[in-house]
Amino acid sequence: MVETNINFQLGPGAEEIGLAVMIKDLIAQNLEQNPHKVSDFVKLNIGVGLVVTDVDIEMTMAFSKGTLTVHPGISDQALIVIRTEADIVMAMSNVKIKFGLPYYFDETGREIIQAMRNGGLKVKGMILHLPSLIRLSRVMSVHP
Amino acid sequence: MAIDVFTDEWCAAWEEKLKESKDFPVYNKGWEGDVGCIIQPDPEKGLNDEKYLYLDLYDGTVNGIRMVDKEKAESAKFVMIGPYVRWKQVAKTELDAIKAMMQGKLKLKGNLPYMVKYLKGTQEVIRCLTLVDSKFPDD
Repeated sequence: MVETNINFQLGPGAEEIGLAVMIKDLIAQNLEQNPHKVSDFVKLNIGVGLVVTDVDIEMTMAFSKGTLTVHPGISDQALIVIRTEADIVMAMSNVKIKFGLPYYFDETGREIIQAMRNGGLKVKGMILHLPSLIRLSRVMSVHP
Repeated sequence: MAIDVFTDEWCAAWEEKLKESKDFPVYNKGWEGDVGCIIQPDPEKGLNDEKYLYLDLYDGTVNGIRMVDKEKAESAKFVMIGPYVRWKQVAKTELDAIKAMMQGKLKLKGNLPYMVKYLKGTQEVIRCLTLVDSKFPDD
């Protein structure tokens, strides 16, 4: 078995943002409980911005070869930027994964699709970086 | 008539609301884990001592909500901590508990992925709290 080094850290100032701490802990615990997701995590090599409009939070998840660093604000290196509300952030973590893809045909999935349709969820860079986005969905989902 | 918060009577009223809820057993089916709540004091608002709440929840049933000591609250599988004023805002529907956690106004210790899976159940527990006619020390 190959041992993989994975790290989770907060950039300067990120410890002040509750969601930054939550996301770091969520992903760390999720990988511990679902080791099959580690390979996706290690392959993620991209910055993902997250703007949560109803709680005024902006942060960037910088994934780099097995390390996640969460920074306050939207970094220039964020090639994907997700803009949505708090409920949808939680729904994105709660989406089920089927055949390696996010499953949008149950209550949680429909909530996400509905938000996309009505403008409550906007994803910049979705088409260009779709494989990374799908990988991120698998890493963030609390379901196997 | 409003009930003084952090009393046995108030805990019983919250427990009763959970037992009356149709959604609570549905969303919490399969849930295993007790919850401790730590309410940090705010002498200026009339809360001089830290308060400790304990929710005994299992598989969609509520086995009790009660005031406990610090050790018991901290030993729970999930522990939510925050200042008195934030808890009051949550109980009065002025603040969403999940958003409060995102903003760092309330903190959660415990298995976060597990909590996320039962998010709607958690929200229902909080919703039932907001149904209790609560009287706070600074009301």
